[in-house]
Amino acid sequence: MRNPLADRRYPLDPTVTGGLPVASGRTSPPHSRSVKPRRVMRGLTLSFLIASIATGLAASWSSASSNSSTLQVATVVPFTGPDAAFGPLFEDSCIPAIKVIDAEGGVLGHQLTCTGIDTRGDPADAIPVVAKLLASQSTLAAVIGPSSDEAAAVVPIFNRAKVTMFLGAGQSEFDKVHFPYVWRLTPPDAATGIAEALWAKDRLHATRVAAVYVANTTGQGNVPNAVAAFQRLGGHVVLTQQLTPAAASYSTEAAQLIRANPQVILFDADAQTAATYLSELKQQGGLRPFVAGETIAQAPWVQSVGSAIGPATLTKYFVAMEGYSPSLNTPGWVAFRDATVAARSQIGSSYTSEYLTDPYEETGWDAMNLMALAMLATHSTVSAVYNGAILGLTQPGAGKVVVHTFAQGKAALAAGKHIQWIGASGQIVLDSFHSTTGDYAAVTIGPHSHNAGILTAKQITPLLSRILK
Amino acid sequence: MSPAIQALGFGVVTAGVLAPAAVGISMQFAITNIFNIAMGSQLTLAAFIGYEVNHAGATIWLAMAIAGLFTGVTSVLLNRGLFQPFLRRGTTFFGILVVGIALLLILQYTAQAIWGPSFFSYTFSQGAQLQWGSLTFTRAQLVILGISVVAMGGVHALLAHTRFGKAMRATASDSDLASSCGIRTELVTDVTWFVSGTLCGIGGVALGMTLGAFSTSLGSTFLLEIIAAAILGGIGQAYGAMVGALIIGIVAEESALALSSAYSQVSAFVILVVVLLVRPQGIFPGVARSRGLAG
Repeated sequence: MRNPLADRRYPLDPTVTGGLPVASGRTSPPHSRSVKPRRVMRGLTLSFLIASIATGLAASWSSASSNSSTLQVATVVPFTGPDAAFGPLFEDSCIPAIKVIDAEGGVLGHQLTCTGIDTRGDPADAIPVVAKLLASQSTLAAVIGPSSDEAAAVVPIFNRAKVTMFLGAGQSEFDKVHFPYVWRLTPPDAATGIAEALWAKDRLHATRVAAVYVANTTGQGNVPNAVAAFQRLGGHVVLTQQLTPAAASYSTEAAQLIRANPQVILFDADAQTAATYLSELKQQGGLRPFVAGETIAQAPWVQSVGSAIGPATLTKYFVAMEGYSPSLNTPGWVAFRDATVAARSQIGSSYTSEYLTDPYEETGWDAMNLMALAMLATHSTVSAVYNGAILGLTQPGAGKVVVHTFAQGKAALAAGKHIQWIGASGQIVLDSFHSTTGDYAAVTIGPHSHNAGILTAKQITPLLSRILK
Repeated sequence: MSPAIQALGFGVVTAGVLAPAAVGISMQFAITNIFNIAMGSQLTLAAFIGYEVNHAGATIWLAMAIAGLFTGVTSVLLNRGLFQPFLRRGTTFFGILVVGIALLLILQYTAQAIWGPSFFSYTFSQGAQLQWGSLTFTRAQLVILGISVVAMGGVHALLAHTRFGKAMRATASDSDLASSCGIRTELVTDVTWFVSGTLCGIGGVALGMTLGAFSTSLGSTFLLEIIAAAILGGIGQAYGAMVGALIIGIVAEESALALSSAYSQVSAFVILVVVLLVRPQGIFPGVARSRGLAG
């Protein structure tokens, strides 16, 4: 075995027994006292003792953390600010799954808990809270989020720290950049945009649309892709309006829209901007069919815009394109429904019956189960180890046992079987960037919300690949 | 129908919404020498008090009146309980500004703790739509415009044509001298805080009505526009605040038409900077120069 000291580029100080390195060519400063061998030995012994104690403590702490500590799942999304609705929505998707997993004995002796981390929807606020989370949370098992508001800023940070993320952002920058620790179980914005365009063209038979969206990351996700897709489908975009969020008035913009006379409006705006814009458009008599992304189906949006323009008006004119679960009677969805209903008291006042068909709730459930089963499959709660097993759990394969609940998965893995997870959102098909494109449902908004039709992944994917090229 | 004239009408409506709070903030600074940044959150609180009253069954106009009174009274209390102790200790203008920022955040987060992060809407009817040529207004918008004009005229009349107004101006000019002349400067200060707070409260409800839905970030979102209107018009001038609000409202709407909606706010603030470069004291010279806000 080679002496590691022999590899050093520094000569050994001849005055020091045991050899402390001194930079080549330098001499000790004239005023420095000569270093006595005994003192050095005492220092070394002390250092060794301190290091031993520290190592022992760390080892015992680490051992404790790997055996019995509670693992944290952090929901890193806005809980305050314009997109405050994301917070409860994402965090509540964690609670039922954690409750079921804990009831089954947890994962490798660990119980799980969900923790909300407020990014305020602003990268400037998100980066310090993420840094603090990573510095202080040694039991962090995974992240639900981040949302599109802060994803661009914090995904690289989590990815560098090798923390598994179940992304809630649809931005195109994650369509073609590979972050190994990112898993996007909801479709990308580009796919939503294409679904919007297809719905406007094929189902509403529109040839002239207007695109209206807010000038922020959320707004710029769906609509520009919808515009590109609509034009590729041969349609004409008569007006594009990029709204400054939360202005005191959009009356002029509303009047402009009426003058452009589109048949359908491709739309995306936060609740406050939408309420102001749409109430002014209604005052001027300019309402017409709107097609938008999943955001407008969320309860706070429906509540605020509904009270500004009337719930019946909302139902009459608005359709949201959202990820579609193939059936509400599949074993995976039934398990999700039962767990979500059972967890109502833990979820609290934010619970609504719409949770049972909300794509973020369904995929959040799937994400937590995939995480826990990947941990069992790899016998590790460390992201860097279990993360690699997630893809395999979603894929079919010869001899694989299809599981719909954590208990089934745990039992199959214990029996030495390979498994495929098919959960609340159906079969998950992930591409090489860990993104999925599923079917879409066009859902009307408001008190009598219903499914107005389905667009399949088969219809969406060809346009998507052309647009992303 | 001319789009430009239509946008002008929309700008007037926006000005009508911003003006009461701008007149309030302008008047308060002119008389008490306190630039109360916390008015942003007082505006939010007023909007929520209005919401509670409105949802308890009162009409929006009664809710506006109650919210205005509430904000007027809380303004007086805030002045006596918070700002005056700092002033007695000789806290500087910037020190008071920092106290105001702290109060803004305290009130905003308190409102958020009480009402949560959701959006809220008033229950009211916009009324019939009235059209004069290219100009279109709803009845509710005309009432808000009317309230703004009355507020502006009332403040001007109070300051220019009443004995109490003279006492206010004397207090604004030299508080110690006014006091030694027998003017009850404490009463003058209280009335000033009450009137400016009431105007701010009315502005909060008017803003909530116009937006359709509002949250606890309402005040901080629109505070800059309100202060800009007050400074642009000439701080300390009731008419000035109204004219400032008109310019900001009209420029925002016309630029949304001529350029793009994305530039509407940018254009309004560019105009503000340009006007202040040419006339640092604002359009109507008020107290900006004497208070060190203009060279």
